[in-house]
Amino acid sequence: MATQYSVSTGTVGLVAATPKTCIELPTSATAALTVIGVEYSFDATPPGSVVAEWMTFVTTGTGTTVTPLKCGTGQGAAANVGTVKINDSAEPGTLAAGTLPSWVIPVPGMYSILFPTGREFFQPDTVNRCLRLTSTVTGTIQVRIDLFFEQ
Amino acid sequence: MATQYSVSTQSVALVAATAKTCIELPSSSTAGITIIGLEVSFSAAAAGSCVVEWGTFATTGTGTTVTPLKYGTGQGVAANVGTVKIADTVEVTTFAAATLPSWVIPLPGMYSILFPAGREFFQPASINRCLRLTSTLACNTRINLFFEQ
Repeated sequence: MATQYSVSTGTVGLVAATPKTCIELPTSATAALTVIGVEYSFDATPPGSVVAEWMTFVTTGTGTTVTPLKCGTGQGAAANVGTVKINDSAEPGTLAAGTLPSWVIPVPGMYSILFPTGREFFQPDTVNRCLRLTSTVTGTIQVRIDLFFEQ
Repeated sequence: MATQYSVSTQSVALVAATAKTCIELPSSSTAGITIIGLEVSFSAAAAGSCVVEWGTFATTGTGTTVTPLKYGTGQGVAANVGTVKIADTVEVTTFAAATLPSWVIPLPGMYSILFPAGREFFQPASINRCLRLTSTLACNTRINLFFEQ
C-alpha cells in the first residue's frame, strides 16, 4: 500500500513577469514517486494569468527546505526523496520544460486536479523536477500550492 | 496494464478568429489510442471564448514533431502512434469535426477533464485526429492531452 505525502508552500509572492520556482521535488537515487494531485490558488484581484510549469533542473536553487508531510493514513515512513525546497529566492540552474505538462491559469482563479488511481504522474528516481510559476499580473500576487504524491 | 502518455504543447499563440491546430495525434496502423484526459488553459484576461474541436484530417500540417512523454508508472515502451505534432503553423488539410466532441470555453477560463475508467474516448487504429482551437481574441493556450495504450 502506497503512502501519501504532501508539500504545501504556504503563501509565496509572485512578481509580475518574474519566474519563480515554488517547489523543488527531486527524487532520490533509490525511489521514484507518483504525483497524485496538485492545487494552485491565487489572491489576484486584477485580471491576468499565471503560467505554471513542471520543469527539470540540474542544480538546486536557494529555497526553504521542507520535509514532506505524511498526509495519508500511512504514518510510518518518511518520504524517500531528495532535498525538497519551497519558495526559492534564487532559481535552480538549467531549468527545462521539455515535454512536461504546463498550464496558464486565469486569475482571479485557482486550479486543482487529483489523478484517479492508475493515472498518476510518475517521476522516475534520480530526476530533479520542480514547479515554476510566472505571473502576468502587475505588482505582486500571492500563490499557495499543495502538491500530493505517493511512494 | 495500460501505459499512460501525455502530449503537452507548452505555450501556443492563438490569433483572433483564426483556427489553429494545436495537437495532431494520428494513431498508427497497428494500435488504437484511448484518450483519458485533457487540460486546456488560456492566458486571456478579457472576455471572449475559444472553440476547441476534435477533428479528423487527411494530410498533416506543418508543426513541431514531439514524442509523447511516458507519463505514468509504465516507463518501458514508447507510444505506438503516428507522427505527433504540436503548434501547427500550416494547418492540416480536410479538417472535419463531424460528430466528434467540441467545446466553446468562456474566457478568461480553462477546462479540464479526466475520464473515469471504462468511459474514455477511443480512437481506432489508422485514424488522424487533431485538436483545433479558434479563439475570439488573441491569447496564449497550453494544452495537456493524456492517453493510454
